[in-house]
Amino acid sequence: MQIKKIAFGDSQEAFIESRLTGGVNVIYSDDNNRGKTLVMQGLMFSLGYESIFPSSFHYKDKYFYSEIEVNGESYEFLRKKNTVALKTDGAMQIFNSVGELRYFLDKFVFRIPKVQKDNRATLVDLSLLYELFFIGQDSRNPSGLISKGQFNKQDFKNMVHALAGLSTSTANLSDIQATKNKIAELKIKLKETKKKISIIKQNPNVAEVFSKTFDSNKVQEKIKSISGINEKLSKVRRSRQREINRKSKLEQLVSELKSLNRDLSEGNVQCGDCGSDKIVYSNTDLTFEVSNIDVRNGILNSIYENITQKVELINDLTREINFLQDQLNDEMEEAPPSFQQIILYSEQVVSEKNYDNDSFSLSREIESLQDQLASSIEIDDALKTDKKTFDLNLLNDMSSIYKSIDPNGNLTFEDIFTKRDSTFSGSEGQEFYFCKLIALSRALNHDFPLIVDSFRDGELSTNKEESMLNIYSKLSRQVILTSTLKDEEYNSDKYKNKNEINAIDYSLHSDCKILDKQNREGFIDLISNFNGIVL
Amino acid sequence: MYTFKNTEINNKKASDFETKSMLYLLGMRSDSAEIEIITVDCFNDVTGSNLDFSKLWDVQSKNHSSLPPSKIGESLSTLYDNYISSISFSEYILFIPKLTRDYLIDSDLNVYGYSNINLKQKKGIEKKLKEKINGNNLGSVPPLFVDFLSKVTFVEDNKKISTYIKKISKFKNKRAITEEIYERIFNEIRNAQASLKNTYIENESIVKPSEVLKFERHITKSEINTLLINRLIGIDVFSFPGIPIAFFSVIEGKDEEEIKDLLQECNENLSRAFFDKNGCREFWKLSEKIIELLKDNPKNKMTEIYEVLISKIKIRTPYLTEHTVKYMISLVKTGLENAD
Repeated sequence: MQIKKIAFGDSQEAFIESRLTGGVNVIYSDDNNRGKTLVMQGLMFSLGYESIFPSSFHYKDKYFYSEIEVNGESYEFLRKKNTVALKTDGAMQIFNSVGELRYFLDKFVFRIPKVQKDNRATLVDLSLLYELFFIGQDSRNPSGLISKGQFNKQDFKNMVHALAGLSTSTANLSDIQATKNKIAELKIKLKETKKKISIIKQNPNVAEVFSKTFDSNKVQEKIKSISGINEKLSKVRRSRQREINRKSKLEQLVSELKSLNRDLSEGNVQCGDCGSDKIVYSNTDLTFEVSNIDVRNGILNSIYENITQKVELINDLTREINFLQDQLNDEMEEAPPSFQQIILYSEQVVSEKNYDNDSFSLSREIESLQDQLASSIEIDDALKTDKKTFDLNLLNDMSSIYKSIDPNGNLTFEDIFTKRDSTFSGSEGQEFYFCKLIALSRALNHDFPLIVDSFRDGELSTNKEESMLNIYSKLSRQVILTSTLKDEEYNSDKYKNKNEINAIDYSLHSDCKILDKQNREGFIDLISNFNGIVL
Repeated sequence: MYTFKNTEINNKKASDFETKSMLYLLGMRSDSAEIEIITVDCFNDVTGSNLDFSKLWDVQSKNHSSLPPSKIGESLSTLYDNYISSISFSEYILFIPKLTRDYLIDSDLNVYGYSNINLKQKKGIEKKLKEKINGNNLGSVPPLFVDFLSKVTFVEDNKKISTYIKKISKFKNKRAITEEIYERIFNEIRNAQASLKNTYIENESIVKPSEVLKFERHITKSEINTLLINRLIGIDVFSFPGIPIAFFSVIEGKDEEEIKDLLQECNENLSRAFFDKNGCREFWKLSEKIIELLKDNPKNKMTEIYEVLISKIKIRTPYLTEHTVKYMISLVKTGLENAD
């Protein structure tokens, strides 16, 4: 994968970076606030990374564009808030969430690994995947992940193993009985919960309680704050319902297709002379059948794939619903008791709450346990050993990289994350990230470029920087670094003098103002490629 | 012990080769664009022609594991018969596997004239050809013998089956198509070609070449094209990555959920079309017309193509809705545009 172009802005002002090459690129300036970090953050955001913009930058009003090349095919991304459009040669797709984008990327652009999450194999989110090759400027912490999503550092390690072809095996055989018991227990609980819901629904006092307290100011305010969450909730629930409908339509389609293509089996025609059942209806205008086995199997397989993807999407949406419901519950708990009743009845939250919060999570738990049961395999000892060997090789490689840039250094690596209490001084943290990034790229031989914002963080010495740049340029893959130079370094054309580096100078951008009216036209041109779609 | 001989395998090899020579005529030649109709086993194994039969490409194909000069000479005889017949052909082509390289003067060539063959082999070829023409060993030179030899083109088969198919389709899928899929399409063409030979035309005669059409032993380029594009589109149903650009005018103004529903509906309907054994005739006609319109008017918008299409064809199949047909046009349009 290679980054070709980065751009962001709106209809008034914009910035476009198209000078990147496939080798080592260093974006530098003689001072801070020249927009280097915004460009890096904008690039990653356009590709589906979480927003890491400074609060002073109003990213929600802006469009973020990037063009990448994967296996010779070019892909253009355009993102605003959480909606992403992806354009390829002759086709375009719009995703209303980054979560949805990742299924598409996995299927058509680059592989996204699955890890076990809540007992089911789940595609990792893009922020976690991108941490393989992207180091942002802020929130660095060698003992954990930089981006804090729903995935944790164990997931990161599992992802690395999955990418290395060492996938985690699921439940142990001895756990199967325990899982079965648990399922039975949960099923009884589910039944009870559903019974409760119907009792609450029939409560005869609703109207009375409602009229007494509804007018109080406090209640009105609370209603306002909750209605926002509720609105979102019902939107997500609608989306989920539509996905469920689509899924069942696909399931019906499969059986319909099978019957459409059936040959009549009630008796058949035979040639009276030779007994052959190959009776050809000859006509002059149709030489070929309308489809062949490849086409029919291809269609059926794609439908099955679509169904599987819908199941995952429905799970994603359910997770989102549960999250919103937790939020709603928190709000409710802080409210006065009478209010709770109001809300319960006026917004039907009680049935929502109980249904979704208990019965839904119960049925999900049952479902995932059943999944786990179905796919449980014996723990593979060989796999464990393989993983250990892989980890050991990775750490060894990190150490040797470290020795090559800092022969007298004292760091030792025991894990790809450091211990929580270990402190790094000066540039050590940066060196750690460097070794990890290079070692991971070698071990996994992944296709992504390496992107490090502010790669000299922590006053990296000139010698170490030289060695790092050397290693980067020998990787024969795209590398994008940013760096702020001191005056004397800037005046001596530090990077410009190096042949193997594509030096891109940002010093001339005015302070804190990278977006420019001059680039407006060019940017609107880029966006107009998306057929006037306004996200 | 009893060993089966002369079974289908030999026939299969021969007809594979005839199909290749047909695909060679339709896609591999610089003048392939002119060739619109292929007649099978009439004038020769395979004969190409333009629409009004004013230009004919005559092909004899010979798939033999070894082709010594005598075999080559023998194979040339049907081409010679056509050369001295009342019909004039513009090309005389012998389609063969790679010859032993020693036979050739410039051994790098895969398409060459008689002049590229060494003198020693020429002698063998001419001896056998004369024998075949004269019906005996007498040495007299048949009429126009030298003339004929200077007109023959030798074409060696040195390509994979998928290459032959790809060259004629001018259609690009977004997804990779495996060699097996191409092979099965090839087999479909081969079977169609072979089935044309099931009629009996021995001793029938014609005056003008175009009269050959009455024997129904021909296959058109448009049929082959429709077959290919139809198969490739079929494989894209439910798996085309994204929305074809040409389809955007339809989804404009709709929200994301509506777009998703619409796309699923179009894909559902297309899959019905590909599975429905009863509605196949209409769907086939529709595909043929869409391809023809798009090839003739590549610059036209999808909606313009649609308007012309429904003015020419009445669509009765219930699931071929307006949206579905427009989606189909968009898919074909995308594939044809990407081909260059």
